[in-house]
Amino acid sequence: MNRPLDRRLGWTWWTLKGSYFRIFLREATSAFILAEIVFFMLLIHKAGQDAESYLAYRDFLWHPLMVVFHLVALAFALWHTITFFLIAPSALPSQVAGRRIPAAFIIGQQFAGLAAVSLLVILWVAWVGAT
Amino acid sequence: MSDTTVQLEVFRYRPDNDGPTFQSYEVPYHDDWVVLDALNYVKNYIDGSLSFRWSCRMGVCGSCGMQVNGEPALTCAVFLRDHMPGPIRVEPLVNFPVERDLVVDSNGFMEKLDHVKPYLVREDETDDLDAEYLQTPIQLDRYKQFSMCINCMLCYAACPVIGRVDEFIGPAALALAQRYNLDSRDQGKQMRQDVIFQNEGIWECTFVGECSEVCPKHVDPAGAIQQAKLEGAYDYYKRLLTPWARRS
Repeated sequence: MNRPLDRRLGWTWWTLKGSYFRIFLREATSAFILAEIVFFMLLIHKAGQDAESYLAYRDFLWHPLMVVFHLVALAFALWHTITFFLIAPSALPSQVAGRRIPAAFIIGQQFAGLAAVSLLVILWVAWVGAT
Repeated sequence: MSDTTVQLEVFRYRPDNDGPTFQSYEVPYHDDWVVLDALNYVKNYIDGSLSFRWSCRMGVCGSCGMQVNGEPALTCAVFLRDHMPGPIRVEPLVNFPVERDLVVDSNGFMEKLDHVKPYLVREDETDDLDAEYLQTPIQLDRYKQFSMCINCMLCYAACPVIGRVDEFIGPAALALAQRYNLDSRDQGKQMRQDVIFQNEGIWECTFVGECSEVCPKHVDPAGAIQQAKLEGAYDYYKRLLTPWARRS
């Protein structure tokens, strides 16, 4: 009787080796991003209510445990961003108008774009704070 | 004969017997031996009942893919010296049904390959044996990397999606579809799209990227799949925004 043996990775695949776990963690960063978006939406909602509830919610966001959470979320977001930038060249067509685009150029453009947008946001926040 | 030895822990499975086990063999160590040499030593001198596939011994045929210490690899390309002092654990490729010992059933893989029509499709097919379809080096360069696949199935063993979704067409077949879609001589793109754009096609891939890591020919199937996704999304929006445009 021929009984081929089933040997599949299964649902616990991400526990099997470091590289799988890192990818699983990379995808899990979306949970932190989602949480930060929810916090931000609630902040906007509170701003539309009375000043007292807005200030109470702002204090909650500045609670030391929440600050730790924000920093962890920032670290995960940066990690996801950097790993995303690094794998982007392989997801893009190798040629544009018949010419090969070096991976370093694609990666560099993304980091330059991130730096430019970050700078604009920082300048805008500084300008709003000063006025 | 070498004085040094290394221990191989080899996966054994006989469909007629009980479940799988690991059997240990002590084989001579040589600096220039690969795992396949050690397996052949076991087969020739210790235990003739051990079953495994191999052919070219030079990383071309793609027959000798196995798990070596948990990583999918061509056993003709993995040196014993890189795993000393051992033991070295050798298992059949995961995500495939095991027929016997280190031999897996590749029929499912072959069927998936067949689905993507991995050959040049021409509307003006001719019986003329002298017919030529010319191509420039730049056109060749667009798909050459994806054409280096040797069907060794290592990428299927590395892919966690294959391990959960039987129907997923998988890295090698999707990379091959992209290879022909990028070929300037091919006219079968539309026929392949029906297969690669279905749920079990490119959209099932979550870009884990391990397929590209283990590929012995640096085909980068993960990259091919993401490129196909990008192209598919572009075509979709183009069709949505320009419904009047003529479709090829």
